[in-house]
This record gives sequence, structure tokens and C-alpha cells, in this order.
Amino acid sequence: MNTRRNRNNKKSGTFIKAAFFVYIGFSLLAIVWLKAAVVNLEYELGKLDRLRADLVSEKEMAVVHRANFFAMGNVEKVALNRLGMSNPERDNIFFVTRTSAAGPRTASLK
Amino acid sequence: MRRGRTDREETRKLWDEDPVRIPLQRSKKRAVVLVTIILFCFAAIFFRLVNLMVLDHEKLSQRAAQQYIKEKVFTPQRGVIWDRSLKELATNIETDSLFAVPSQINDTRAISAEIAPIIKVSTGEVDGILSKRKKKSFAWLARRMDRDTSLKLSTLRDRFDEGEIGFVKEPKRCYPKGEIASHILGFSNIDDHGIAGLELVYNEYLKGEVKSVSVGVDAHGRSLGGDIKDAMPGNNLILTIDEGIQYIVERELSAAMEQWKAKSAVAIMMDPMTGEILALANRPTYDPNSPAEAGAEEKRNRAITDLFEPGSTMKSILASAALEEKVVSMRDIFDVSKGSITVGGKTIRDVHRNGVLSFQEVIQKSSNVGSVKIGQRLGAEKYYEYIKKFGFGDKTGIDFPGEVKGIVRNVKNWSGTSIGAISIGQEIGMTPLQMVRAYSAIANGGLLMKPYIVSDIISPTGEVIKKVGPVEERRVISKTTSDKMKDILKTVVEEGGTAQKASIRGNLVAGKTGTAQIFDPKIGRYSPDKFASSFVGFVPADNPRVALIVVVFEPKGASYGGVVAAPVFKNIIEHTFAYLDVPMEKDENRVVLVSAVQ
Repeated sequence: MNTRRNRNNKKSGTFIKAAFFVYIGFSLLAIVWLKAAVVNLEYELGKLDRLRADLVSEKEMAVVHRANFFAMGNVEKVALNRLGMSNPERDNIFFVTRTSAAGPRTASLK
Repeated sequence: MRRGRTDREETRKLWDEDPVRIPLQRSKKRAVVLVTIILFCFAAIFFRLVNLMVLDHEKLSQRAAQQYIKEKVFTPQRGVIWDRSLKELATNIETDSLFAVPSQINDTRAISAEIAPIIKVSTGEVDGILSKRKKKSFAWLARRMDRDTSLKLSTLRDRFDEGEIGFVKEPKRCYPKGEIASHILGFSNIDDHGIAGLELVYNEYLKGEVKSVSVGVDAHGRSLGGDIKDAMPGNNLILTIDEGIQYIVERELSAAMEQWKAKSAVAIMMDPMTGEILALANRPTYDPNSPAEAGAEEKRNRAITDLFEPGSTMKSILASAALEEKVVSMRDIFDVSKGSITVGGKTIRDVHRNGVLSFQEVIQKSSNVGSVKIGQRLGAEKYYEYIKKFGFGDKTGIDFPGEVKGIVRNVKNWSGTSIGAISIGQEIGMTPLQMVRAYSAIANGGLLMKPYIVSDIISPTGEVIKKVGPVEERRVISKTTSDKMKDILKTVVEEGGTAQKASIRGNLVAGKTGTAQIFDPKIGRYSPDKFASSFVGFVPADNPRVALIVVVFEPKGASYGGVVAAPVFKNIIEHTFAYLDVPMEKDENRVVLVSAVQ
């Protein structure tokens, strides 16, 4: 009877020990894996952040180029020299005034 | 030996009694030994942990942080400056700055020889920097480089050992319109501090907050993501300036400079109703993108820092005061047929002989003799009072650095000739801005407005931090006097007036010419051939949209304000009105009738 109990105790003890070591092993692996994953994500984040900074920089350059292209001096130069346009004279400005609606007149001509 | 034998005997004895008990006892002993060892190990680990985590915690955590945490300083971008239509006048671009780690460099000469030609400095200069800071871990080599330079350098980078040189991103101030509005905007230095113009005055608003952030780095010093956030950029400014008008003013001023081979020129356009500055230009000028290439003459904002004797443009101030004080009426006549008048021993002459002139004609024909007579009627005390009321001798309070208040001597210090001289705009010094403000008061019905150039300060998130609106400083003259003055000033650009070249088709112009001799300190009197030619006025005369002053200093070939400055005024106004679609008066507009859709 005692021998059997001892054998059972021994078996369960061995199992618990093995489980414990497996648990510790897996825990360590999990910690290392998580840590590695976090570092990897940080690299990704860093890369994305650099990409964002590059895009912001590109946007700023685009804003500057746009502002430069639309500078009055440049617009005038292109209009006069390349497109054959002339500076607007006040005679060339038309003021659009809205009149009463066109449509069929009534018999009373109101 | 003996004991061993006894043990063996005891074991044999026990074996004979109970054969199962012996292995149990043996494994118990082993277990005790094993547990003791494990406990000892755990205790050792525990004590080591206590040592590391409690006793040496401070020191070790600092050492660790030094290895994997890097303090990164983020330079903020200066705020953007927009014109009134939100067109960018000053903005920022990202640039690379090159630094070296002198302590890591073995051969400074080799590096200097490679880098110097690209950053356009001498090899000796770079070598000097590196050698002088041999023991230091940081030295700037080139800041805020252009794209080409930075690209060339980045290809060189592989040739050097890691850690010898590096790049840092830094924002650089950029003025995309070049010379346009350069005197208004000013510029900032290499460290992004405003040192002229609005960049200086609004530096506190524009500069933003430097942000220092702890960033995780790997073994190679590459920063990991996560904590990286941009520094807080500065606030943005919206100006009252209109880029289109500013361009027209600058273009016409340049043309006048070329035509008259003048020394300098100034033009200021103002909304007379609000005091908003619509354009302000100086010649000579400079490009704020490269301020180091310009001298002090080019950078000077003459509109507010330089004084000039106004000459005949002062006669409108005199006439306004005389009308307001009712010492003259529109029907009064002045005999100026003699052509000269002596005041305090000094003879003042008319340029052209006139006979008997009405009060209105005195201004229209810019008679010096008639003006002196009006001044004498008004009296020194009253005239001085109005000069001060119109804002002369005091700063206008515009948000520009270096504004001067002008020279207006206290009436107690006036000499016997002063009333005569000041009546024709001599013995008094003012800035072009003061003069256009005074004419704005005549234009708007008699209110002296405070000029301003920044209308809004906007936070980076778009909230309005400060809004500036029109400020009425005081009433200078009544509406009635203002209306009378408008009628008088209209005649100046009509036939018989001194500024017919300022008249424009479609709208009535009210204004006054000025031709003032410039005092030459070398000869101790007024120069016979150096003049300040000016024209100041407002359009449309009865319902003014803009007030404008044009001053051309030392023109060659002509000197009269009506010849030199008046045409510039006309060109600026005509193009500005076409740009602003200001309709012509007197039904001269081309009108297209469009039926409303039902």
C-alpha cells in the first residue's frame, strides 16, 4: 500500500517539477519574445515617424514652391512673356449686374 | 576510518531489520542538502537583487539611461506670416545641418579637405574648428544647408567612420516671395531669432517652444519611435498687407527709381478708414532669404526710420487747421502778386508768379507766399497745436521696430522765421508714415487712426490669440472741414493744379505735391540740387478706399513732386483699382446686364 502511494507521490512530484520548469521556460520565452516584439514595433514606429517627418518636409517644400510660383511677379512674368497677356486696364473690367428675370410678360406688361 | 566502519556496520544492521528504510533516509539527506543549496542560491540572488534594485538603484538606473535614452532637442518652427488673403509671405523648410564629433576624428585634415569645398568654406577653416575642439564631442560645420549641398554631403558620409560626422534636421526661415515686403517682414538669424521687421517685433509670438524629449536608442544610437513628438511651433501672423497691392507698389517704385536715378524711394498705402497698412515699400531693397548680402542702406525701413522735410504737402495740414479755426474761409483771397514775402528777416518766394489767389487756389497752385499768409493768420500757437494733433512729433505706434517720432520743435522755441518756414513744410521733420496718416484723417472725415500691420495672431491649432482692429486716436478736424479740404485737394490734380499727372481716369483724386530741398550738412544749408519729391493723396476723393504717399529722394533730371512722384501715384492707384475691381465713377464702367434666373 505504502509502496504504491510512494510511487504515485513520486510520479506527481516529477510531473509538477517538469511542469514548473516548462512553465518557467515558457514564461522566459514569452518575456523575451514580447520584449523583442516591442523593440521591433518601436523600430517600425521610428521608421514611420521618419517617413512622416520626410512627408511633412516635402509638404513644406511644396508649400514654398506653390507660394513662389504664385508670387505676383512670377505670374506677371509668365502672363506677359509666355502667354502674351497684358496688364488689366480698367476699361477691360466688366461689372456684371443682375436685372429682373427674363420670361414671358403678362398681358398688363407688368 | 573507524567511524566509516561503524556506519557501514550500522547500515548492515538496519538492512537486516528493514530493507526499505535505508534508501528513504538517504534521499531525505540528499533532499535536505539540495534544498539548502537552492535556498542558498535564492538567498544569494535575493541579496544581489536587493543590492542592484535598492542599494545601487540610483546609480545603476542613471548608467542604464545614459546607454539607451538619448535627450533629443526638437527645434520649433517659427510661425507662418500670411498676407490678408492668407498667402504665405514667410514660412519654413526643413534643412540639414552638418555637425562633427571632433573627439572621434583621427585625421582632421582629410575630413576638412573633403567637406570644405562642398560647404563652400576654406579647408583651413574646417580644420581649425575640428582642431580647436579636438576634445569636444560636438561642433557645427554647416547650418541649414540647401538641398544640393546636403545631398552631396550625404553621399560622402559613407567614407567616414561612424560617429565622425552627422546630420541634424533644422527648420530654416524661407520667404517665398523674395524681395516682396522685405522691409515689413524683416528676417531672422541662423538661430531663428527675429532681428528685423515683424520677425523682431513679434519674435515672442513667432518663435515657438523648444522641446526636449527623451528618446530610446538602440546600440547604434538610432532612435526608436514612441516618444517622438514635434516641438510646439510658433504662432502665425495675418497681416493687413495685400500681396497683390504690395507687388504693384514695389514694381512702380522700382520703375521710378530707374527712371529718375534716385537715391531712394518710399511708398505707403493705407486704408484711411481703418488705419490698415495695405502696402509699404522702400527702395533700395533686399532679399530676406539672404540678408547678409545686403548692406544697411538696403535694409533700412525708410518709411518709419527716415525723416524728411515735407515741403508743400504740409500746406494741407495748415489749411485744415486754418479752416477748423475759422481764421480763413473758402471765399478769402490772398494777394501773392509780389511773389515773395519776408518773415523774420527771411524771404520766402513762390516758384511761379501768381496774382490774387483764392484760399483754394493757394493750395491748388501751392503758393508759398499765400501759405505763409495763412500761417500768419492762424498764429504759431494754434498751428503748433494742430501739428501735434495730426500726430507729427510723436510715434504713430505702428508695430515696427525703430520708428522715429520726427522733429517738431516746441512753439516756445520757434524763431521769427519758423511760422513762415513751417507753413511751407520746412524746419519740421517727419516720416512718410506720419504724413500718410495725417492725410488719412482728412480723407476719413477728421479722425486720426492708429496705423497697424498685423491684424490677427493665430495659434498653431487655429485659435485666435489676438485680434487687432481699427483704433481711433482722436478727432483732429470736423467733418465739415474734412469735406472742404477734399474739395480743395481735388483741384490740385485738376487743370491749373500742380499734380495733373496724378489724375486717373474714372475716379477723382485728392492730394498734394511736395518738393522739399534736402538739408546738406556738408555745406550747412539746403542743397541746391537735392530734393525730396512727394505726392500724398487719397482715392476716390469723396469716398476714399486708399490713401497713398510716394516720396522719391534725390531724383536726377527733375525735382517737382508733380513731375516725379505724381505719375508713380497714378500708376499705383490705377493698377491697384484694376486689381481690386474698384468701379470707376461717372458711369464709365462697362456693365453687363444679366437676367436673374427664375
